[in-house]
Amino acid sequence: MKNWVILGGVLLLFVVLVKEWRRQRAPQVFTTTSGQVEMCLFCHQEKPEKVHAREVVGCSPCHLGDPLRTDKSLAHRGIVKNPGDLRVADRTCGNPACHPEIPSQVKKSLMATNRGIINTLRRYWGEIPDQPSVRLEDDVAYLLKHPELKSTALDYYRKLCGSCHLWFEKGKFPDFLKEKGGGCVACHLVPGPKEAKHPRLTRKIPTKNCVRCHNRSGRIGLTYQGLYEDEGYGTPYLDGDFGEEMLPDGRFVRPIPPDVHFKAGLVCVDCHLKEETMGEGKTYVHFEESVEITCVACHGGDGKTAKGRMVPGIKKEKGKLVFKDKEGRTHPLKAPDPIKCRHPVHRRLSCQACHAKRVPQCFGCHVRMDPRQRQTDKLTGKETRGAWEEFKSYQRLTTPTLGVKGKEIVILVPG
Amino acid sequence: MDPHATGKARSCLSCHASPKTLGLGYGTLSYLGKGRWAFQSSERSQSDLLGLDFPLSALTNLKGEIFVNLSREDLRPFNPEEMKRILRVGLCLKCHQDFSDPVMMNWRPEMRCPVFKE
Repeated sequence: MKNWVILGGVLLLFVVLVKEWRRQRAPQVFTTTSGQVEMCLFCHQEKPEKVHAREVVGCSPCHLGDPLRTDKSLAHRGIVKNPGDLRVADRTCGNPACHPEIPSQVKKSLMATNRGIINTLRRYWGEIPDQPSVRLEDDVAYLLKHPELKSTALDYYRKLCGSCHLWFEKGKFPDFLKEKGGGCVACHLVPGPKEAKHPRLTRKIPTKNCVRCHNRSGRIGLTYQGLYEDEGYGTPYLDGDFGEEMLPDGRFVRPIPPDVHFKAGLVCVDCHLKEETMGEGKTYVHFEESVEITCVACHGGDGKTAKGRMVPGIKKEKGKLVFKDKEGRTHPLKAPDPIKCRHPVHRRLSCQACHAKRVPQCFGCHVRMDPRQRQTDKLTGKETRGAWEEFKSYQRLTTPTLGVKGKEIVILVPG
Repeated sequence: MDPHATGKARSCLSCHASPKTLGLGYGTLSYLGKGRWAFQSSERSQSDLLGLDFPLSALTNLKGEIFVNLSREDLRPFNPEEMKRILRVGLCLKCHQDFSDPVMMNWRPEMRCPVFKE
């Protein structure tokens, strides 16, 4: 018996010695420039961009985990791959030392709530009163917490629309959906240099990031760049392959004249303010309540938006207003034609009524649900009964139909 | 909505003589005199498969009947009076093509053409 105890003790000592011998010990205590201990830097060599430099920010303020441990399993406890995910953004991007006011605003923005889509869809389908109003349940965050809330319109939303909002988990779904969503990073993330082994965060949001979502319904993200979603199914075929450009989701597009602002090198966020895209802490039902940039803010106006904010890109040079884009290029600002645009007979016209020559129009758009099939609910990630398909009778790229909104002549688009 | 297709303005005729722009849909407009118009749709008036009893590209007709639901409470197609006003300018555009013409530059609704008898 005594021998067994001694043998056990020796074995235990051996295991402890081997474990200790194999343990990687940091040669020093790693700290950020502010003096915070950040032992993650012992193993991790990734280099984000300058604003979030590893020496200044470290890893754990964004990715959480335990920065005091060097043992991988202990250090990685509670770690998050995507700090921008709105589920954790209050503790990561939105932590008190960084951007504390942003996550709560973003969560109220239409890109996070999808309130306009959900509300309009449910009203169209007769599920709620035909008066647009702020309803608690018309919000992706609410639907995520309440998978039991079911209706025909919500089933359609969950399956066909549910991947275009900021709560969508980046990388959770396969194929083209893999790149979508991710909260803050849905917009702010761009690939970094290969040797950095870390993507870059930017305030110069490339158009590509916006168009990952803004490419359906009115197709504004496509039209802006000079692309038209075509019914040609890839024809004409060239060299045994599709003769047309294909979007990541498999739709075909063909080139058309782009928007003049795109030609001038402007990206979406050159015009659209952060209060429009990231919210301003208020709850809106429709995008036009949130959008405040107007054509006249830059062209013939005083540089202020519809809500009285100064457009960030507008500067005064030699007594004239000019526009400086995110890349620092200066653009002269042309005022509206004093006769054509200011003629009293055209006083009700929006600028777009004349200056948007073309818009994709989908006539006879309709949907069908096959109750025998199953389809993935993009909010829960689970397949449920009922598969939706969208159809159109025909589609055209042509001059827009006009109509009246309040006292203004505007563009009406079917589909 | 803003299609994000900003460029040089569309032509005067593309609004003032286009049934599609007015919300009538694809088809042919004929002036009958004395401010009266007729419209012949180039599409079938019914779509049995979709259960619709109006041409697919139409929002309204010359009588002002509205065929579709629009997404906002304060949004509507042109009414018959507005359509007539817009189309009347289209009659002038045959001779006075755009705002470079002094007649168009100084155009007022009460003006009457000394040549064309409305």
